[in-house]
Amino acid sequence: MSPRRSLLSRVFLANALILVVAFALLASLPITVSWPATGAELTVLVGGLAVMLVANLLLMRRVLTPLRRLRHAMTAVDPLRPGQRIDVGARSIEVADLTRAFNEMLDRLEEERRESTRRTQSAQEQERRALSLELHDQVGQNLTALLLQLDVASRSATPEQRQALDASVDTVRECLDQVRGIVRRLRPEALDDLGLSRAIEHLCDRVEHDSGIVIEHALDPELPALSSDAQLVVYRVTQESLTNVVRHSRARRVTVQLGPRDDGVRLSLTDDGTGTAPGHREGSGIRGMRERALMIGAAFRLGAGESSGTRVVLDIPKEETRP
Amino acid sequence: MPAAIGVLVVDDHPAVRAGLRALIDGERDMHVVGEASDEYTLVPAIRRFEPDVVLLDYKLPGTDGISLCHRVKANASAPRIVIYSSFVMPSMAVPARIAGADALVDKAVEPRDLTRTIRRVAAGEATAPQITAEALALAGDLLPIDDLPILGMLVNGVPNRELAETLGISLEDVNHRIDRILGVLA
Repeated sequence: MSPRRSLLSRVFLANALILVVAFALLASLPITVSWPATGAELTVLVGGLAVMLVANLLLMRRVLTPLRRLRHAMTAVDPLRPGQRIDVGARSIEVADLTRAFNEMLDRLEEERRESTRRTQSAQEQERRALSLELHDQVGQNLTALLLQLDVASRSATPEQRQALDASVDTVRECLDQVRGIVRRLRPEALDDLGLSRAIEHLCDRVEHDSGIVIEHALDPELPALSSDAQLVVYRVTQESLTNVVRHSRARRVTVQLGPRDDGVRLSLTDDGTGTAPGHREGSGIRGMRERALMIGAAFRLGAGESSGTRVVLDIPKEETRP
Repeated sequence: MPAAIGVLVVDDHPAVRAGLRALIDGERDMHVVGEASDEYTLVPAIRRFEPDVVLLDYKLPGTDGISLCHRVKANASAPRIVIYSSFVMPSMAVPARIAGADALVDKAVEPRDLTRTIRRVAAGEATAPQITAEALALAGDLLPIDDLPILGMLVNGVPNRELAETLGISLEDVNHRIDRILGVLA
């Protein structure tokens, strides 16, 4: 129901109502005030005034409550949890207008935020790609060359020198492994080569191998195809969540599920670790996941698992699937 | 003593080429006959230096070693080819086998293993990369259904001529299809 009255007329009507009642009472009752007023007359006057003031206060509060609710609703809106729109049951035109304008502003802000997140994320992915290529092509190749040179040098070396050179070879090899590790993390090459499901399988296997945490994955083969942005979001959210599990949760088992749901796709990760403490401040990793989710209009939820641990859910809307 | 194994080193990084040269020239039974840095210098270098073995980097500017390997191998008197890669993933074995590579070596192996592989390849010993069932399944996933029979015959070592007869297409078409398959897998 849309309100028909303005705030001004509602305030005016409330005041007018009180004055009319007071006027009617004065006109119809045998009330007279002598000069100077007697104690009894003053008591009646003060009583009447008190009644008018209280009535006015109650009426004004009723008129202005939607404004107060609007302010509360405005302060409670969290930019990282999109889709919240306020409805304060406005009874005046101004409050209804204000609510609508605020909701429209939220629409615009969310749209702008989605767009700018998309831009930042894609710039970040490009930067990562360029970095990983450089690392791989330059640092990696030079380390390979160094490995070969050290091997050649050790042939004409004395036994003591050879021992030192062998130690250097070990260090270089370690460096090379580290570079490869960084390159892999920077760029989900597997995503381009293998497709989403297999890339996630690959990721799970690697994390399981490196961390010793059992990672079960249930990846539905009937998964609708996702846009490339959405694929990257699913991959990065899985990667970040698994990193969190390894670093903070002390979990022994994680379940990763990816499958269709309500025309869209749902990713969920559940672990049996220590969970997040209530009121715990969210770190940059979780913030990053929320922003990535925002970018594709997906819902991201982080909460307690069924019995213990943490559960991360990412619901990707139908719009991000490809027919 | 048999003649030393002539090796052509193909890598776009001068430092890696120099390292490989030092390594190979340091062996008694092999030496570097020439170097190339990209697909354009590769074919002339093979013609000019007539190497026994080509050590071919997987990642070259604008192309990949596996596709290049297939092109070189189309020639009847092609040298033996060892693909040398920074990342050897099990899935690479399939395109390497299809392209006719004689071996696939990871750049992080001990240099001794690299020279041993060169020696075995030169001697004609079978060192072709082993194809795991998983790698084959992945290749199957990536390719269109039409290409699957060709994939099956190729990994089983059916010669191209026989392949052309079985499918009733020209040898040229077979090569074309293989190029396309490698484009997807390599």
